[in-house]
Amino acid sequence: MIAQVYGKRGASAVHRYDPRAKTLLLLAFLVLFFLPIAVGHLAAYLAVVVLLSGAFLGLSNTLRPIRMILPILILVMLLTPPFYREGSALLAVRGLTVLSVSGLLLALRLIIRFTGITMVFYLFIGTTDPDELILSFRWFRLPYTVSLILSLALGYIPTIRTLYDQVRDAHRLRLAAKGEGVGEAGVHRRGRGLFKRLRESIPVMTSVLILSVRRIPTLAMALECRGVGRKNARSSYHTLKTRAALLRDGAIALAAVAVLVISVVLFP
Amino acid sequence: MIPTDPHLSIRNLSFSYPEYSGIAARHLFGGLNLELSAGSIDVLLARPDQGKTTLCRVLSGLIPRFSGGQLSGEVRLGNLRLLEQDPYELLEQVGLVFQHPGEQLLASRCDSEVAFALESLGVPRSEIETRLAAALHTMDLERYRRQSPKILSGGEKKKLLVACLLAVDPRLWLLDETLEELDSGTKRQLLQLLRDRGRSTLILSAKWHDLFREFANRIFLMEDGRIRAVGERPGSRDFQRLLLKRGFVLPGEGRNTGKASLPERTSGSPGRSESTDPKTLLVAEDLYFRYGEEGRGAGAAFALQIDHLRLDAGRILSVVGDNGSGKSTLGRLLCGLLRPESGQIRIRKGEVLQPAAVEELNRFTGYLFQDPDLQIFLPTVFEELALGLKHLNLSMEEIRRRVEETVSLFGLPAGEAPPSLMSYGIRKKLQAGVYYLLERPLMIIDEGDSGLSVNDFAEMIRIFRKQEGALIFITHDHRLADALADEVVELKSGSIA
Amino acid sequence: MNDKDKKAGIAGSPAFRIASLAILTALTAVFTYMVRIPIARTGGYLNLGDVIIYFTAFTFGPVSALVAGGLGTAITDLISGYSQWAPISLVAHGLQGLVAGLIASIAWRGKPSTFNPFWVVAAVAGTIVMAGGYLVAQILMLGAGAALFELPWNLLQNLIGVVGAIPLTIAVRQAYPPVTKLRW
Repeated sequence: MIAQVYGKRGASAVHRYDPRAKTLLLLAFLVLFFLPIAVGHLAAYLAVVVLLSGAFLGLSNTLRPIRMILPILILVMLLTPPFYREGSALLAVRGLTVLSVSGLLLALRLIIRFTGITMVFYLFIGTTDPDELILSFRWFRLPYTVSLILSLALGYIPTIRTLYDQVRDAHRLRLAAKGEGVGEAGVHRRGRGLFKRLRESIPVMTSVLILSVRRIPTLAMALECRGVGRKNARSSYHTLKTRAALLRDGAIALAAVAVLVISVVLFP
Repeated sequence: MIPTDPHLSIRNLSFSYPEYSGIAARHLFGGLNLELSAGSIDVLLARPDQGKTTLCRVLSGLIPRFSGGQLSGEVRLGNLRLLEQDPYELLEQVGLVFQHPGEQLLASRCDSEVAFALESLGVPRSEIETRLAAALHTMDLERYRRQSPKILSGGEKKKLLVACLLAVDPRLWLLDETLEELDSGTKRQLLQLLRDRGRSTLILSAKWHDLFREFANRIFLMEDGRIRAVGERPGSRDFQRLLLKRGFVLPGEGRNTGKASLPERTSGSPGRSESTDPKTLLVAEDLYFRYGEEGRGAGAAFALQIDHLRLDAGRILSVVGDNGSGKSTLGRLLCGLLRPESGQIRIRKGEVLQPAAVEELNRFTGYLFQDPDLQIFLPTVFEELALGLKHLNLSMEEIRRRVEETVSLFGLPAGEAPPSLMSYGIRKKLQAGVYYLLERPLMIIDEGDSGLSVNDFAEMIRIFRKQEGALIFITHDHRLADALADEVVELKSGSIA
Repeated sequence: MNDKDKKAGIAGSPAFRIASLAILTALTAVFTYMVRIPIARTGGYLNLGDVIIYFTAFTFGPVSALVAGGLGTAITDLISGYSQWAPISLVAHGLQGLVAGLIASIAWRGKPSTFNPFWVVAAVAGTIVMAGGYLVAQILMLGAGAALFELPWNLLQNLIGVVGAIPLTIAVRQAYPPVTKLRW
C-alpha cells in the first residue's frame, strides 16, 4: 500500500474484487486461525494463504512480510516453551522438564497463527485501493466525516513527509558551521547517542509542528469554501460496484466461507 | 429570463488581525471601497502583504471566521450581503482559487477534486459527471482524470482548481495570484476562458502582466489599506511611471537600455584562467544529476547537466528558468544537499581551488529556501538571529551588537514578539538576516522574490553584495534577473540554454 | 448566523475539526514511520510517534489525541507492511491519547507556555494504557513469553515520547502562541 499512498493503483481482478466481500473473507480467515483445530491442519490453511498470496501478489511480495516477522517468530519459538512445560517432556534436566511436547506444539500453533494473520492482512491491504477501502467503510456505516479525515490524512502524509525532509535540510545547513558535517540530504548519521539525536530533533520537530499546525485553519478554509458544513445531504460521485457485481463477489466470498466451514468440520 | 450577473460593491471595509502580546493588531484595510461592474474582468494590483489574500477570504466569508480580528463595513453581491453568510453557503455566489494550490487540493484523484464541491451541493451523480467532464475538457486535463493531483505541476494544479470553479460556476470569481508561475501560453488561455465565460472576475496580482492590457476591464491598486482605480492607460509612460513609483517594477526593468548595461548571458564556455584568479570562489564542471521518478513534476527535466559554472567573489549570478528546468536542483548541488552522479565542484580553500566534499559545501554555502518558515522555531527575532553566532565564542555584547546591526539593516521589528506571527515578507527578511550573520562565502537565494516587493528584494541583494562573497539568486522572473544580476544563466530542461 | 456561531468559527465548525484531525493524524503517522530504530524488534520499532501523540494530547485535547493517535498509528502499520497490528494500534494508541488528553486537560493555572506537571501524570497514565493494551494483545497473538519480552521496549519508547513531548510542547507554544486557540 505504500505505493498506493503515493498515487499508483493496481488493476488486476483481485484488486477490483469488491472490498466488502474481501472483508468477509478476511474475518473468516481470522476466526479460522484462532480455532482450536489441529496444528497440522492449521499449517495446511496457512499454506493455502501463502499460495494465494504468491498467486496474487507475486513471490517477492509474499516473502516480504514473512521476512519482516521472522524475528518475532524466532522469539516466539524460543520464549514460549519455557512458559508452558506441562505434559510429556522432550528434554529434561535433572528431573525438571525444560522442553515439553505441549510447549513445542503451542509455540508452533502461535507461529502459524501469527503468520496466517499477517499474511491475510497483507493480502487484504495489498490488493485494495485505499479510496475503495474508505468507501467500503462508509458502506459499513462509517460516518462521512471520519472517511474524509482518513482520506485527507492519507493525502497529507506525503506532504508532511516532504516538509520534514526540507526542514531537516534547512536546519542542518544553517548549523553546518558548528563543525558537524551534515552530508547529503536523507543520509542519517549513525553512531550518535539516542538521547542526543532526540534533543537535536526538537528544533526540527518544532518547525514542522508550527508549519503543520498553521495549515489547519487553511485546510478548514479550503473545506468550507467547497461546501463542508452545509446542512443538505451530500451526494456521492464515486461508488463501489453495482448491485450485480457486489452480489457476484459476495457469492464467491460466501462460497469460500462455506468451503472453510466444511473443511474445519471434516478435519478438526 | 437570463439572470444578469450581480455586481460587487464593497463599502468602507476595514479589517485588522487580532493582537497578541508583543504585537499590535495589524490593520490591513482602513475603509476600502470598490465597485465592480457585472460580468467584467478586473485586476487588483497590490504588493506582497498588502492584503490580497485577506480580501479574497473576507469576500468568501472565511475571514474573520478562521482568523479572528475585527471586521466592519458592507459588501454586497447584487442584493446579497456577503459578510453575513457562512462560507459554505456561498458556493454558487463566490468562487476562490487559493494563492498556493497545494493548500486547496483535497482529493486523491483529479475527478474527485472537481466533483467535491458538487457533492457538497447535493448534485445528482449523472449531472456531476457531465459538469466535471466539461470542466476537465475545457482546462485540457482529461488525461489526468484518474490521477492524483499531486503529480501535476504547479501550473496544472492551478488549472485544476479553475476547473473546480468551472464545474460550480459561481457568479463572482476571485483569482488570488493565479497567473503567477504560469507560462505565457497558459496565461493567455486562462484569460481567454474568463472572457468567454463572461462572469465577474477579480484577478489579484503582485506583478503587472502585459496580458492584462488586452483582457482586463479595469485596473485597481491596493495600498496601505485603500483601493483606488488606476486611471493611467496601461502601456503608456504614465502607467510605467506609476508602476515604478508604487514599487511594482525596478528602475531599468522593461526598458531596452542598450547592450552595454545588459548582464552577460553565460553559455557555459570555459575561461580556464579561473584557477589563478583570486576572486574565483567556486568552479563546477561536468555536473550530471539524474532525477528519480518521484520528486519530479509531470513534464520536468530528466537530468541536470552543467558543463561549466564559475562563481567569483563580489559577483551576482542569476539562474532563471521555468518550473522543472532544474534551478533548485542546481542550487542543492552547490550546497551539498545533493551529490552529483559525476562531475566535480571545487571551492577556494586558502590559495587554491580544491574539490569539495558535500560536508564542505554544507559549510561553504548558505542556502535560503523559498519558504522562510522551514527554519523558524524560536520565540523571538533576537534568538533566531543569535543562534548561528553562539558557537563563535563571542561575548554577549558582541552578539548583541551584530544582531542589532542586522535588525536595522534589514528593517526587522525589534522586541520580544515571535517571528511566526509576523507577516510573510518580514519572515523572509528575517531568514536573510540569519544568513547574513552566518557570513558564508557563497549565498544562494531560491525564489527570494516571491513574497517580497521588488524594492525589498533589490535591497536584500544589495545588502548581501556588500559581504563580498559570491551570490546566486534563483528566479523565474527574467526581468528581475536582468535588472539585478551581473550575469544570467538560463536553464532549460536541465541544461544551460 | 448568530454570535455563538461566529465565535465558534475557529474551533467549533465541522470543517475545522476535520482539518485539525486530518493533519494531526498525518503528523502522527509520519513521525511513527519516520524515525525508526529497529532493535531486534518484533513487530514494532522505536519511533517518535508517541512524542506527537502526547503533544496532541497536551495541546489539542483528548478527542484529538484519541483520533490522531489511533488512526495515525494504524495508518502507519498499514503502510509499512505491519497491517496485522493496525487494529491493535488503533485501540491501544487511541486510548493512550484519550487518557493522556483527559488528564492533561485538568485546569492548570500557570502560563500556557510553561511546564505543566499534569503532563507527566498524563504521560504515565498514557504509557500504562498503551503498554497494557499491547501486552494483552501480544499475549493472545504471541504467547506470554514473547509478550513480556516486548514490554520493556514499549516502555522505553514511551519514555522517549514523554521526554520529547514536554520540551516540544513548550517550544511550540513559545514560538507560535496562537496554538492554544486551536484546542477543542
